[in-house]
Amino acid sequence: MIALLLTLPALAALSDDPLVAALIEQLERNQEQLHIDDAPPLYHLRYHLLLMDSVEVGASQGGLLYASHSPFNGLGVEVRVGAPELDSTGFGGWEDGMGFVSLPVEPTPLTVRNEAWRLTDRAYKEAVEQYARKAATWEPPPDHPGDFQLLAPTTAQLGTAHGGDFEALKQLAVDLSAAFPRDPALEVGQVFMGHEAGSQVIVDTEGTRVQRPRSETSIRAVAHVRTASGLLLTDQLLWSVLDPSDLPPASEMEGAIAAMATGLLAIACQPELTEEYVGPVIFEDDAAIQLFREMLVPQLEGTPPVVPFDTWIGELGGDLGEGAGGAEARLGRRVLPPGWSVVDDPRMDPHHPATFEVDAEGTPTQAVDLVEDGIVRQVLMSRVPRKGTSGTNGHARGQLGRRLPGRASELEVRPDAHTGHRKLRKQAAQLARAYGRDYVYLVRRLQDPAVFGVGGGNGVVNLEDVALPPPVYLVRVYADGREEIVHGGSFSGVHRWVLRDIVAAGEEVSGTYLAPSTPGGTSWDPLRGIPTLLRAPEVLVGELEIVPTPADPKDIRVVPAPQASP
Amino acid sequence: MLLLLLAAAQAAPLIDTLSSELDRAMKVLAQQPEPPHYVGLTVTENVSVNLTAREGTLFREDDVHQRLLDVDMRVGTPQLDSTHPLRGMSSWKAEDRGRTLLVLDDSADYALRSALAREIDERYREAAEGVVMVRANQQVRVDEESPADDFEVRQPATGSVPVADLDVDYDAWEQVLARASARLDADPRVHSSYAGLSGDVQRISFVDTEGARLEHGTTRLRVSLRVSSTGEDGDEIEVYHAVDVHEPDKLPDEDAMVAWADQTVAELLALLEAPRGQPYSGPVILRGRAAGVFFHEVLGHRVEGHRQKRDDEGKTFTEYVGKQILPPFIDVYDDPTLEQLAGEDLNGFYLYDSEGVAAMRADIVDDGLLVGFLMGRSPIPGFEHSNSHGRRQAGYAPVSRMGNLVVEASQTRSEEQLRALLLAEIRAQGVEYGIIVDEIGGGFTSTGRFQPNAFKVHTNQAWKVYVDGRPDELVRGIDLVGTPLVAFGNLVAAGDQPLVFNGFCGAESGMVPVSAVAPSVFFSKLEFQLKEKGTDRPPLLPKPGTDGGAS
Repeated sequence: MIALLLTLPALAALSDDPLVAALIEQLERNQEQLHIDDAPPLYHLRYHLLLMDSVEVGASQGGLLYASHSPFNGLGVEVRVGAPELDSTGFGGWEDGMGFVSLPVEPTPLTVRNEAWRLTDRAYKEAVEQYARKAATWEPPPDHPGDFQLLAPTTAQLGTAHGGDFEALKQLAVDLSAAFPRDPALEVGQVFMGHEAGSQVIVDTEGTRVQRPRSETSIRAVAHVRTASGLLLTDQLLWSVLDPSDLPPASEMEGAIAAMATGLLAIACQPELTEEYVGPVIFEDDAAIQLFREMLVPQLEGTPPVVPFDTWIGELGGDLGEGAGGAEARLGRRVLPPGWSVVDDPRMDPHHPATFEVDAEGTPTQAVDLVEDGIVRQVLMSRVPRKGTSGTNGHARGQLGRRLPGRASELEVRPDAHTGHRKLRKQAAQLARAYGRDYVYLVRRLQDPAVFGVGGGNGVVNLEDVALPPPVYLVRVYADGREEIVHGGSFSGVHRWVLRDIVAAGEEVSGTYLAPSTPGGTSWDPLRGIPTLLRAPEVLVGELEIVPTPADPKDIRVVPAPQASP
Repeated sequence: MLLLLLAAAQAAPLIDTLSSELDRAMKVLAQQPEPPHYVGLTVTENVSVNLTAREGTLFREDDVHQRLLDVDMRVGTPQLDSTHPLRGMSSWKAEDRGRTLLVLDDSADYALRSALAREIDERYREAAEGVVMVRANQQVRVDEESPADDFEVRQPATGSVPVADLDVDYDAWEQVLARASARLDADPRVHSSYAGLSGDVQRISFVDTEGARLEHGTTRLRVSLRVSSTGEDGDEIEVYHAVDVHEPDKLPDEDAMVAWADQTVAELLALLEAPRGQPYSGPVILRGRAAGVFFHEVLGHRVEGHRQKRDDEGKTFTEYVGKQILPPFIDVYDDPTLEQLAGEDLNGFYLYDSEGVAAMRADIVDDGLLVGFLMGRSPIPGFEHSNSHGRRQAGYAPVSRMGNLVVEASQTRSEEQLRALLLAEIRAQGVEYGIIVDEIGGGFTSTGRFQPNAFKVHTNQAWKVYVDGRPDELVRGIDLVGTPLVAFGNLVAAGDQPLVFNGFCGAESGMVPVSAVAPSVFFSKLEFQLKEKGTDRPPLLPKPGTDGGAS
């Protein structure tokens, strides 16, 4: 049981807030009065009151595409009927007792009361039916860990974040987009900015009363370049910070964007990969982050998948269901080489947008030692139990109004030992000799599916196997130190066991990514997702397969891009 | 020197940039083995504000400013080009055309031109692939039923009509809407409600390879009220009213809004109390707005030109040219040049259609005889020329669509006379009652061959009319259905007061604003079916702060 009183003096102020008071009034009213004869009891009701300021901007090569600035206020509900051992949740289908509605830009106690009334009525009826569907069609196994963990209430008032200057953010996006070079081969040079700041209030029938700040400013710069053979290469840069004041100086970001785009243009002019390669591969810089993000993190998120509902259109839920999660969790299994460890601590970097003191269910968070000696010992949990775990560790994150799974936040992968760039390459060269080669491949950055759809969706590249997206920066490194950049390669047949095949760790790198809101999913939007911080070493993988990406001559442009004005 | 520098820094007007990029692209495309025979560029710039208030407070405030690009590319010849409808497996080919955003600032010249070039290039490569399939399709498949050219070559239109910003005091309107929404919400039986105002300025820049060069657009405002509730039987009942105007000074004032809100709630409460109707066949009066939607669905969509040439279309009226399809006292035309009619602004007003043709009246029915179709630049046998009805929402290819569909009657009856006709017909047919439809909520029709060639008009307010002295009885839960030829054959008389329905119509080329203007019409027989009904119980607990009963 977890009980926490973080800021007692401020608690009275939270309850005094007229909107929160209206919400609590409805919470108590619904808890006491919402009832259908012979239906299982409502045993848990939780509201999330989201009061945010939101900015979205898109800009292209020095021009504004769109800009919006408005409050984003909403109300989420989670209704559970039955008992913690077996309740209405965790079963496939969308009428599941959870939901989210928008609130007015200027919410009043009346509107909060009315929206809570409408939303809860619907959610409760859904939950009652969902419980019946689940109980009628599914027999819990003897070791079923239950559906929900009841906790002592949390009370905390952690404040609210304040919104940024809309005009300044808009201008920044336009200015950053002007940093892209005016090169005819650059098909897309766009900047997307999302900024939100405010608070989330969590109240539930166990007595939890939490207000936590929420803020994030993310800027994604996206470049698409067409090669002479028709291949489309994509690259991107992401800055994600708690507050706009935490962004690097504009000149620094402009320089990085120009360098990224110029680099991509240069890569496009390099030779295409023509061989099928099997052998050691070095993951440097962002590529190391992307490797662990794609191959490790899903194995550490532990919320179990929902039980599928067998319908005439097929199964709803299961491994691929909304909010499923946990299907890939590998509790007790080896996921990394011996000696390696992984920890997730949402307070590791308190200035990162992934940080939080209390998770989205109102549970105080904890640092979790996920991997010890290469073996998964704990997984990231919300209040939805999993066999073999001791309950929530305060990592519930995700879309309000949906089942909240345990997710990564600030994750650190620690190898048994670090080695330098030079030694890593030397070791790789030694491994390559076993394959009869005098070179290895080095990857510095992978393409990010989040930007494939920018510019009309023509960036979709080689998506048959998105276990590991194609490299942007692929370098053939010879034993004598020579480097040749190539483009047009894709990974083939990558499996999570690739991490067990890590031979050596290099220097630590750090990166931020926007994780898809559904565990195990893929984010196709440059700004949507959950900010996640990952620190990990650069690595040498003993064996991977890289194959040429076939170009389609039909994709070669006929109408050339315009020349830039002098 | 200073003057020169200032001049150099000034951005070229958007339309000049469109022209120059089109010229530049054509120099390359003209050299291709399959050059385009036509390219049109359209930029639709929308500046809109949408306000919604609920329960006494501002709910949403959306400011949208965007520019959307459409490239209409035709590869092949005007007789047979890449836009020709495909049959069989080839018709499954993917189309990438979608919403292409352009930068909002003309001074971002490079961004603008590079996006134009990219979209022209993509549409060209798609069209060049398409025309290959079209030709093979023609060789392999049987001859089409109504062979016609794919495109009408025209003299280019030029014109520039400034479109002013909307001068609306949105701050003041927030307060008006908030107060109106509080009024809507006051009754505990109203479960959900809103009051809204949207202001939309649309500026269109159009150039094509024929030399057209057009700048024009429209301004529109819509104020709307919506209330809804759930009946004890699970019926989701809603009442929605909207007023569409072109200028802010025509918007209702606050007193009118409040009165309107009260009336809207009263209508909802009456419907909540009303019984559900039953399937019915018998005499019916459709009052003006309902009649307008009826003609829109039943006639208007079936006289859209492109539907007369596709082999998968029902072609209800294709062979009826010169023949009687309506009583001889009925005329029907579509005239997008009408800005107002019957004292109301018309949604379907425009100066030029989406294919660069100056708006003009299209006669459809004259003295009950079918005389024409709504034509874009896709000819059909016997109708080779556009009459300015090629329309689209940005992001779609244009097809022929309605604008302002007007139904006129040369012999008219007063409302009282129509009612007398209704009563007489009820007696003559020996049915228990007749039906008068006051309000409708839109409708749809199926014009193809696979689905029944039928229509459905969503009925919001229908009254049972008895001949035994019982008062008229409001009923809910029934929709008007039928098939076009039978329905028109039963049209007996028309009223003398035209009423305007303003709305938005969705079809292959997206959502376009339309109007339908018609007098009341009396039918000796029409059919109603049960409307789809919700299954949710009303809320288990009363609305907060109320006892759930009447206020």
